[in-house]
Amino acid sequence: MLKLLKEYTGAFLLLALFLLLWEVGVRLFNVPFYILPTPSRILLVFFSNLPLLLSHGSMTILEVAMGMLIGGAGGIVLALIIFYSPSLERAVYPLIIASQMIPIFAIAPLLVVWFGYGLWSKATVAALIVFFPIVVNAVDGLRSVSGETIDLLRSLHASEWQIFRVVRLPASLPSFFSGLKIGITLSVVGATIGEWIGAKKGLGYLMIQSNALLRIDLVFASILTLSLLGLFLFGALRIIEQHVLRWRTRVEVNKTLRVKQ
Amino acid sequence: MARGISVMPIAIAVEAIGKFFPITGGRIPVLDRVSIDIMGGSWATIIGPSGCGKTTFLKIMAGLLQPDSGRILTDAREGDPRGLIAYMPQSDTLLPWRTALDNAILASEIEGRPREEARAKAKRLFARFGLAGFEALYPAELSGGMRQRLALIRTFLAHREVLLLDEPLGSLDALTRATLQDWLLSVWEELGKTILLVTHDVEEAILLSDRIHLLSARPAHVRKEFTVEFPRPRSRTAEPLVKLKGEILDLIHAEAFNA
Repeated sequence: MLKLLKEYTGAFLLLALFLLLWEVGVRLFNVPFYILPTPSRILLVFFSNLPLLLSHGSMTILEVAMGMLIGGAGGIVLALIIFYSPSLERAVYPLIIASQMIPIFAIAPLLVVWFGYGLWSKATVAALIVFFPIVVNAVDGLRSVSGETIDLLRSLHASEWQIFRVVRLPASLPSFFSGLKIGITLSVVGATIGEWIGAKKGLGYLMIQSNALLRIDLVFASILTLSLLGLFLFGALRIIEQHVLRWRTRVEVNKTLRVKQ
Repeated sequence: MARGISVMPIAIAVEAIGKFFPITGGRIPVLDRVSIDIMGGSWATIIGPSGCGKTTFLKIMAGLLQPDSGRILTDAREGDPRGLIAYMPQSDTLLPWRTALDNAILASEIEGRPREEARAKAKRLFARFGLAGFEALYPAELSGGMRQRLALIRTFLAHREVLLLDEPLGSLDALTRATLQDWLLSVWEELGKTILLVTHDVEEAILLSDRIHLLSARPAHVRKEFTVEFPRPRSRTAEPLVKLKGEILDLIHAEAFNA
């Protein structure tokens, strides 16, 4: 934690300055709290409503997790299809790219109609947002193996499956994780959008309800919870990434050590 | 199939190999009836102007490309050469996510042999190849010369009787290259394999080989062959060696102008 503070000193200072200006500004100009609450009030509301926020937050986390799971699995399957079948690539890839031109806001209400107010409509929104960066990055990763490496394995009589398992899969992991990291931030956005449009629970739902009641402090507390949730998911993913790609982590750490010497 | 057990080194007869590459509206000839005889256990070297098709030739030898005409006989037999030949591509092609030791046992793993046994065997070679203590490092943590030695260990551990080396020392600085040439020679003398080396370094060819096959400019055919009979280890500065080097260089330059 101390290391974290040290590493991001500048960011923390900037954030503190911003919050201070906000606090002072609101008090100075007597802005009513139902328009813009002070950071201190938001923090107070955050802590006093923690059980409520956590109960709605757990729903959002569940939606994000399911969305990641569905979108991730679908993305991997599509990436493999695109990589191994040039004719299917020509058929599928343009459609995938075109599908990204459809604003997710536009189809989210439909998904609520089809999948209901519960978990699955939100998970689907998140999955639809997540799968694109995962497909693109996974395909790039699968393609990143040099022809010479493939030649080497062929000369050893390796089967296609062995080439996949020994070379392509591990070679694609770094860009696959890049896709996941983009995806996980986007999926929080996706789940929240889904909750705005129609839900019975979740932080997005809580925001809409609080907004209607002019409980702007609770809106901000929800936003704070959402950000912390996003940070937590991103951090968890990074820890997994550093463990899975420990060869790269170690090589990078050694490089920085050498530069410092 | 010769694997694991030591057998008589394998002789190779390359008979009139021809290869075309398709281009839009036709095809260009790359190899024009290349014929080479390699004695079992000998060191043969292929040298030629750049872009003459040396790597294409090696890929055909390694069973990665099919020739359009001609055939390759290993010990007078035809067939897929892949059980007999270990191919070392031009770049080291080490897998960055594997430790040095796990890179070395790649061939054993592909063949489904027990991993621990392969590791134990590889460890002994690490000591022999001057890489003891570096087993657990990743390729990015090794120097250029060490990476190349590791790629050679991997090639040796394929347990094939014939080694195809595509400019294995080409990317190294002159000093490291000279050290590795001596070292490669001692390893070859100890292991008794047949080696086919592709290089653009005439001195390297003369220092190491029993026979040098000089390829012409594209489409490549064997322009001239030299038998190098000087006893090993050879001195880079011995007069007959320098003379032969001059002779070969003149021929290469003439070829390069013909191209």
